Amino acid sequence: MKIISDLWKGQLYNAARTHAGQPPGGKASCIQIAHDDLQRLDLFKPAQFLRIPHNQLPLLRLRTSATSYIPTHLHLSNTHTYTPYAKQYCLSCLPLQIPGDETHTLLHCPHFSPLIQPAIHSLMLNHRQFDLWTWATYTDTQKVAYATWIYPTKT
Amino acid sequence: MPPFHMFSPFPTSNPRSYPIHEVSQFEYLGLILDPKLTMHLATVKAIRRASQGQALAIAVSYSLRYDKNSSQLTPTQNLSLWKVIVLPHFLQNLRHIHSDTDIKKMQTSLNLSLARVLHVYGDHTGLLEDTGMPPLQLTKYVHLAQLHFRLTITRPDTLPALLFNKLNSSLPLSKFHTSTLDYHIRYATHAFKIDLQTDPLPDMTSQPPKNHESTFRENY
Repeated sequence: MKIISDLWKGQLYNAARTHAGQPPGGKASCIQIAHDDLQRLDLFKPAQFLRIPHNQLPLLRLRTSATSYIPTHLHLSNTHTYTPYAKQYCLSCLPLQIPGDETHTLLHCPHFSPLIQPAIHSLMLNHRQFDLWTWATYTDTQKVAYATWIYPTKT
Repeated sequence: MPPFHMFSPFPTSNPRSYPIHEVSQFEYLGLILDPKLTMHLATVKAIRRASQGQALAIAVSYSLRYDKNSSQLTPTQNLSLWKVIVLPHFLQNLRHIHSDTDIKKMQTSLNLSLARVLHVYGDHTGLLEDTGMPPLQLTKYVHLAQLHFRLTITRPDTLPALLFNKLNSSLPLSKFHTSTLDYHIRYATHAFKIDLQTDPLPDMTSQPPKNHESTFRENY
């Protein structure tokens, strides 16, 4: 017998699947960020970060592509025309044409990423405290997922 | 054949008879029934009620902004409010709505309603996942599987259960019309891979007893 959470997980994983060489798109990006959080047994319960009483609204907006400071979260350009996900370039890094997704903005952007370094440093300390893998061993997607607050669980 | 008339029992009354007007829809136990049972009207009504509920939820959330020391409700509090006021309108008659288009309309309305109450206008799939709200199509499967167990195991002696068992027990899925409730019940049990002969009811499986108070404290 299957449970509804399994069926739902299957649907979400299918929606996050992208073809090789293609950028993920907004929906796939959201699901990739929540990938580890989808491992919870009961998807009917809210995600881990919503059970902690701090910064719920900013984190919810960040995880669901509803911010105004990450370029790929803006579907319209300054002239109110639709711009594809892959062409939403980081404005701080122009004229280099780098897609301004969460990974770039939070981890690699020379203008924005220093702002969240204190939070990442705190996460690294937490990982050490919980005896988890060192920060450098995680992929960029996992780092972004942790930065949007996946509560560290011992693996 | 219509039009039908109702005659007065008093011969001197004027007029002698009253025409009975045929109605195109009527409400029965909160469900709007239309002549062909397409359930479109029930869908429209559910969306309208949910919209009114959403306005109420936003108003309550706004009115509580000066409660205690917090300037506004947290997303968790708004989510609880939304689940109490808006969500029941989407779920109440969900198992009777068989058109995929109607389910999609309701899902769109639910997504927008949740986004407005939480003030998060981003990707709906991510929002549903983070808030723990499964798509209505999956919730409908659960409701239909529950109905199946109610008709076959927990309440087998009622009139609907007797009719259900008598008419449908031996028919294969392909023999049902896709708009019937019986087809959707069979389809739901198939989607969940429920073996109707051997699988127990969910509440019959051994589960540790829950401490509701500690669960509440953990979540809120």
